[in-house]
Amino acid sequence: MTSMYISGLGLLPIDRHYDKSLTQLALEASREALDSAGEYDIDTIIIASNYSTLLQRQSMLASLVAEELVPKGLQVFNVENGGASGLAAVHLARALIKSGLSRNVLVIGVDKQSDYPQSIVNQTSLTQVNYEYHGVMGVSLASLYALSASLYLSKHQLNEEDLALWPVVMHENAVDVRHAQFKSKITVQNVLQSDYISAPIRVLHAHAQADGASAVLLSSNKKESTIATVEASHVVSGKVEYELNEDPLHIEPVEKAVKTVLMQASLDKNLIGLIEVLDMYSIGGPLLLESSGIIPKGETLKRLKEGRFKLGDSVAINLSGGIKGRGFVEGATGVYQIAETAAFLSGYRGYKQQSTDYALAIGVGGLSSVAAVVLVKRI
Amino acid sequence: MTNLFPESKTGIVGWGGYVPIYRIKLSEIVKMWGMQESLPQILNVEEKSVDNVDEDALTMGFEAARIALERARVNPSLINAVFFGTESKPYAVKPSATVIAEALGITPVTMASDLEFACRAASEALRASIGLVSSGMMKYALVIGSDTAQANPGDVLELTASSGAVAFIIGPKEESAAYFEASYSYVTDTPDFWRRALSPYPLHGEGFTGEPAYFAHIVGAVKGLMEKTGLKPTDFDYAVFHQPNGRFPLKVAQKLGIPKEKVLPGLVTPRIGNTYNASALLGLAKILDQAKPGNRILVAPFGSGAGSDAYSIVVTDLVEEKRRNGTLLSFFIENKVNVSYSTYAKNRGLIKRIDGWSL
Repeated sequence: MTSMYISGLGLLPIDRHYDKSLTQLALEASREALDSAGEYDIDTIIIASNYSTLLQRQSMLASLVAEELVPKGLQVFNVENGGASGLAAVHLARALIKSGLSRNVLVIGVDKQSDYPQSIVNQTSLTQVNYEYHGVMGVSLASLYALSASLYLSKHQLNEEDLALWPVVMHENAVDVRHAQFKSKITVQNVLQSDYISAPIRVLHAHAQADGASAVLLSSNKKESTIATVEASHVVSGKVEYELNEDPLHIEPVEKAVKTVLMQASLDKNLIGLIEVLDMYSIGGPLLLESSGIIPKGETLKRLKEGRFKLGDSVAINLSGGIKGRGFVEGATGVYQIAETAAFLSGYRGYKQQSTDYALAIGVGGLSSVAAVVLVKRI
Repeated sequence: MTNLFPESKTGIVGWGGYVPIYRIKLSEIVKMWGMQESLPQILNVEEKSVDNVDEDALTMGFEAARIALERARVNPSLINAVFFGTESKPYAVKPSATVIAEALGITPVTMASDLEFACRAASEALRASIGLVSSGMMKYALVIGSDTAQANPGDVLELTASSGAVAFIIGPKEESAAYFEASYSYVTDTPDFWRRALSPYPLHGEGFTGEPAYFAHIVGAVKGLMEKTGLKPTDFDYAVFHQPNGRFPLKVAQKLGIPKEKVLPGLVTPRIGNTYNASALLGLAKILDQAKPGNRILVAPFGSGAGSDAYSIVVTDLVEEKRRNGTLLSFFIENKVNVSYSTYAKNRGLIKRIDGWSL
């Protein structure tokens, strides 16, 4: 397989950036990535953003950024694939580099949700499922995830306390992650005392509205500043209507994408020592991990309870803190995940380091609308 | 403090607070709308005041001003300015200040106007009055902050928006129960909360009302005051901040390094809700009801839109005598009758009713 080199990272702190526009956030993350990469002749910009057209009413983001950053005229693309947008953008960058059409691709993930009240953002998030089918009925993403959580807990004879452990561990993981939105710890009791959004999902299972941007420079050639490589990637569409999945606790596109990625790299799944997974409303974590085939069904929360998946374990999960600790910036999440896996594999600029050669980033749009998976390797 | 600022020629010669008798428990509102049950606890507010059917910002403002005048014991005709800070004036056009001025015998040789700056208008009036009195243009000015605060039914604002009034008569330092040492204003264009013309209820930017609005402006004003005067948090015996809920004042105090023990004596919102223009200034009235001569008070009201003023106020020997001359705020806070959501809805005009037969 031809590798793609990750040679620059931009990880803006996730926060409510009231004083910065969407384009400013994208530019800041880009400049951080380019500064850390050194001199590069970018020929392509791909921007992943899920909300820009709906909330900021701005399309053509990649052109806007290119105009400021490299006005000479580039190949530009805008990717919108829900929570999997960022990983899908990396996949596209890899396709362009493998084909020889691009040599240096700047992939940027950006979204900004704090410009609007919660009700608008929640309604907008429903565009990731079949809006005519679910959205108009007043169903929310939280209530769909609540259905899966409810089913998961009863099927595996677990309780709310077990599920509450997920956000607790995520907050713990985020304490030393400098771009994380929340660097404070919470307890199981805090989670169980927080109000229900849609049982068994509570306020402390949900992410906070946030803004952020992340950028990675991906190149066909290794450079001095290269910190990791992208070995494989894939994107697979699935059921946009969650309940039409044959087994609601098995997200088939995730299984397919992970299988393909491992096949592309001829890699045994047991060699993966780090996973950054999109853990929507806590339950998304176990759901995706177990659909990937890497963790056996019903085992995620049990192993978490045994103290597994932390830094230094044979496989560490969400050292970033996931959507609860690091924060959730919708379309940018996948780019954050790639930058984070590269940072945690290499111990980049003070980030903690997991001792492993391979990391997997797993994301979905909606609940099962699309899955995107990227395999990152230590240099 | 080495510098003497113009403010120090002036002080509070009379003060008065008024809170309507009715209260609604926040738990009642939460139950009505199916809100998050822990919200009252998170906001640190148990119940809020509700005006009666025959009350409005003007009548409540009058009640507070009457008490202030009783304490001031000055000839009303010597008051040459009446400022009415509110965002719920009964008449969109026609000043409320003139009605109160007339009722108290202040007219006709007086300035009179209603001011609007969300919850901060009365504080602006306070600072303007300090200027008018310290310049020698007049001996006394009356400042009133009063609101029957509006909130969209079911919005989180409904949990705190309440009714109440406060009044201060500003005059010469020598006649004052407490004098102003210095003041500082901090204002920017920050759209955290607004109500368009003819709209019955305001809108707000949720989390945007916190850090970039309330906290940034109060911290800006207080730090500005401290820099200007050389005063430190430890120099103050009491601290009163705008009280949109029972949590924000404690959090802003923490940011400024002021212990909560100095904030709690002036915290009235947990018992009566957010009285908007009267909010922080009722807190000041409550402190004046208990402070000792020589005590120094930090006061920082805030108004959305957004701005904050910070005042350093020093209590004088006259405080105890003046305190005796008027009804204490605690009387209005303690003297209460709890009502149901339906009575509250009737009093607040939330129930649409058409008039019957008329000639």
